[in-house]
Amino acid sequence: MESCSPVQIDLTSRTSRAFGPLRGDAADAARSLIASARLAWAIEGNWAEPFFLLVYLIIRPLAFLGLFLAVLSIGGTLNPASIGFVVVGQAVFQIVGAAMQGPTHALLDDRERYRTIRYIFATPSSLLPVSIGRALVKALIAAISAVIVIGVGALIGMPMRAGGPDLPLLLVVMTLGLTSIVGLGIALGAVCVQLRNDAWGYPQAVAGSVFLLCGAIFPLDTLPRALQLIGAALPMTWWIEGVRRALLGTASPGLLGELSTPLLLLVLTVGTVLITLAAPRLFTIGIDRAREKGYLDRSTAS
Amino acid sequence: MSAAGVPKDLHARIYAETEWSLSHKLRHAAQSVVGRAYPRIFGMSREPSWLFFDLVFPTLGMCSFVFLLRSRGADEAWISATILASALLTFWTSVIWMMAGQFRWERDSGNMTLYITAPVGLGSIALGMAVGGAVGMAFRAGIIILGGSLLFGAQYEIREPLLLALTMLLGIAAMYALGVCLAAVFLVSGREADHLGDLLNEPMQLLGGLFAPVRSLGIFGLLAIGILPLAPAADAMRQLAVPQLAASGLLPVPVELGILAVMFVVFSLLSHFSLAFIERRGRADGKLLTRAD
Amino acid sequence: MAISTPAASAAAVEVSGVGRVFQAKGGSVTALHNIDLRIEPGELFGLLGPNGAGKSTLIKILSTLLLPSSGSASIFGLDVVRDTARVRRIMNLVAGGDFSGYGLLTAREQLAMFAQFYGMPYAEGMRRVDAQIEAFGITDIRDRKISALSTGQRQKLNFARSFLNEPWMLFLDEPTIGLDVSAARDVRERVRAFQAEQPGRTVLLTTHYMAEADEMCDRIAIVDHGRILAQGTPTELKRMVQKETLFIVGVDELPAAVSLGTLRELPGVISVVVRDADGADGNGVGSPVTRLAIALREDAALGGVISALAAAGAHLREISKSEPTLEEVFVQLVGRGISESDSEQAL
Ligand SMILES: Nc1ncnc2c1ncn2[C@@H]1O[C@H](COP(=O)(O)OP(=O)(O)OP(=O)(O)O)[C@@H](O)[C@H]1O
Ligand SMILES: [Mg+2]
Repeated sequence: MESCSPVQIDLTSRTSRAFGPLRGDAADAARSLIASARLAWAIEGNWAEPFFLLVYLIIRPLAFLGLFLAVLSIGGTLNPASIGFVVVGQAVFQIVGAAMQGPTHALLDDRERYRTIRYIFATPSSLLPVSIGRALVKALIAAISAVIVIGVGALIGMPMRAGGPDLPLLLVVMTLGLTSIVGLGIALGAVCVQLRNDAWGYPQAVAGSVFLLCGAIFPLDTLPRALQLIGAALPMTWWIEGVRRALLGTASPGLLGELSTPLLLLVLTVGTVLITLAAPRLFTIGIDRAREKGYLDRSTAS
Repeated sequence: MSAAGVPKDLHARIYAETEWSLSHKLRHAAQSVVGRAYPRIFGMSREPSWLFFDLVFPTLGMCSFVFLLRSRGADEAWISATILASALLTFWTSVIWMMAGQFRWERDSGNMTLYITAPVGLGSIALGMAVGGAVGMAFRAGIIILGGSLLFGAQYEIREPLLLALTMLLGIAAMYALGVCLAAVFLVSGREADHLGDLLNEPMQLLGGLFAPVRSLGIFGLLAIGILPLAPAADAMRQLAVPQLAASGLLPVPVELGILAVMFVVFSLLSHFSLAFIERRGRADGKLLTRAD
Repeated sequence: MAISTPAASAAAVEVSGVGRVFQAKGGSVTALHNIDLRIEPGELFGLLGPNGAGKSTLIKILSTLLLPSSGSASIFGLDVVRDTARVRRIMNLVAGGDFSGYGLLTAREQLAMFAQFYGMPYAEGMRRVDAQIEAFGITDIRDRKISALSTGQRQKLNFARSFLNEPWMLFLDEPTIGLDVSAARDVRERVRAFQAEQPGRTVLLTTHYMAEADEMCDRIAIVDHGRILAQGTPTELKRMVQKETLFIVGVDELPAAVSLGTLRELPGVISVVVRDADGADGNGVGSPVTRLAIALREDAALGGVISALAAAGAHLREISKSEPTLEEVFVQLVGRGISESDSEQAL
């Protein structure tokens, strides 16, 4: 049991009371969420470790970027527009990937490592704030690396919007995007906790497939028709497009680029609302099933 | 009462029991390797979800590179290369998650205690882990190559199948040997190991020249080919299976094969020493090998 | 190689001057101070002590998991530091609360896997696997995945595993923790049967359960703060806290003809006190009983007391011998009860 168990106990004593998903006293819920975020911060934010900073904020995001730029350059010399396209998609996707991992890792950490899940988090209602907290903190940390990626992008020739970024648009798009991604993250956590030990890698794999579909590094139009439709249904697609418009000042080439910005915001809002309503329910169902089947205290490596 | 019925020559008999002949030791080592490989070969596929996660997701990753290439109108030969790289990546991923990270898991689950106190060497355990992992992944990699090639109509032209087989074999062997060294490193590095695992993933895909040739990395490419088994393996495989892209190779295939062979030997020796090290260090400090309880 | 001649020591376990210091964050912790211990072949020896006493540390040293900081130890004459490989061929280990194994294997597969590690030929291994499954009565879960087993089932499996190599030396570190009464009884029986099968098989057990130690162990060492405070058979240990024997004698009422003083004058009697006058009788019905607590130098002195009472016309209702419990021994030596120290870590 590493350092976190006392914090967890403290946390549940506060949260287990009433934080039913979508129910209960809002102030209470907010308090739980803050406590969970603090816990998540303690677990995730190894801020004192230079190695951690180096790996997560710099090496990994830039390696990703390098990987795509390298593949991109196979098809001919890089032009500023395509660099800008990839850099922004890549930067936003730092946040998507991280937020998707947060809740799953929170659940698996407890299940496989600390084995506290069955003692402490006996109810979905106490697991939920923890998972949301972990997702949020991960997303915020990733946002720093997103900024770094954008910075490096600017250095290597990414074209910026004339007159600087469209900050109001950026703020709205980021808020909506973050909300939806945290929702998807907790739903994914409840699925992954039912799976094997290497479920550690699954959120990343899911993120990878979302990556494929949401036009992060190549225009949606490249995809086969059916996949384009799925891509269009993902809020991340609209989120990334919104950020592109805010930062680069130009819409993407292809289908997505033809939509007006207000329409884009509308679609993103509707998607986010739907996810925010559905995710906690999915989470509860998933955790309940896992508990019923005894998955919360098993460990399944081979 | 305790002495009742205890034979006089008990100690001598027990001593004789501890005397294992060379053939006994060899048989035991072989059995141990198979014993440890078993759960990986047979257990791993028991959860139906493996299909979904071990096949569908690597395929999706592969697809993003393929679509990226297509969006830029790159030569279709690169798509064949991408499919091969994805297959190689399955092995590398399993080296990270199922080799490097494994000893920590074995320690935390209490298995390490049982391995140390059993008359089995950590070397046999590690070899079993590697063999089981590689066999399990070979199956998945095969499906990825087959599925990917059908999906994208990829073509290969294999002029020297033996050389290609040797490259894959040596590449995989060198990767898993490195995996054992990493297992020891991860065990010693405690919580930092999580970051190490992530460091080994995408950054190594770039450095290893999986999806874009190491050649394009300049001096880093040369460096990578000297230390990272992924690099010579991917580079040689591309040259051997997709001859149109031979010009993208950094070094001639025989040289890269030689590098892989040397890597295999060096990493095997290193893993031998690192296993001895963790056992020694674990017994000395009392933390490395046993679950903290 | 100059290995200590195996016959030199007739002990199963010989520990001399073993100390162990851990480097911890806040400085160093001495888990064991200069321990001397000798366990005879065939014994079931118990280590009893509160949390942090050093029991597991000693077991880890003996089972080659940990090096001693000082001193030496051997198992059947094999040095645990120098002859590590040999020691491992004749021993096995079970720890409580163990999650070992691979969740995706079936119980039988898991045992089969371990059988491969223990060095016996494949066919022999499988024979023993099936024999152990039979012996532990776990045939019903044979083909069930480990991840679907209960704690008790897993622990039985763990015991079955530890018998696979038919170890001469078996280490059990709180093996019945978390088991229900019947599962604990089952494994205790199996351990006894295992020892009976082959004279010379030796077991070293740590436990927090006094009754378990009392019932199972031939000899016990009480350990605290890394030192052995006392050792001996359970009876010997109980003798330590109570040198005299104590009888409780119940009579209808104390006849006027005898005073406590006269009883105290009798040969071999140390003291006589009235424990409870007019106490309820054993069944809670019938007329009240007066109980005398009589401390004697030896059992034989009881005869004199009884005759004296009878001669005075007392009507005898009950006689019982009062034994101290291991718990009392423990409290007296360690200065606190084992359950008190337990509850500290309960969470
Ligand atoms: N690896 C280690 N590093 C530092 N200190 C340790 C280590 N292992 C044990 N100790 C310390 O050594 C002492 C003895 O521990 P040990 O585990 O042997 O106790 P125990 O008698 O088995 O207790 P319990 O009944 O709780 O199992 C304790 O103070 C413990 O904190
Ligand atoms: Mg202990």
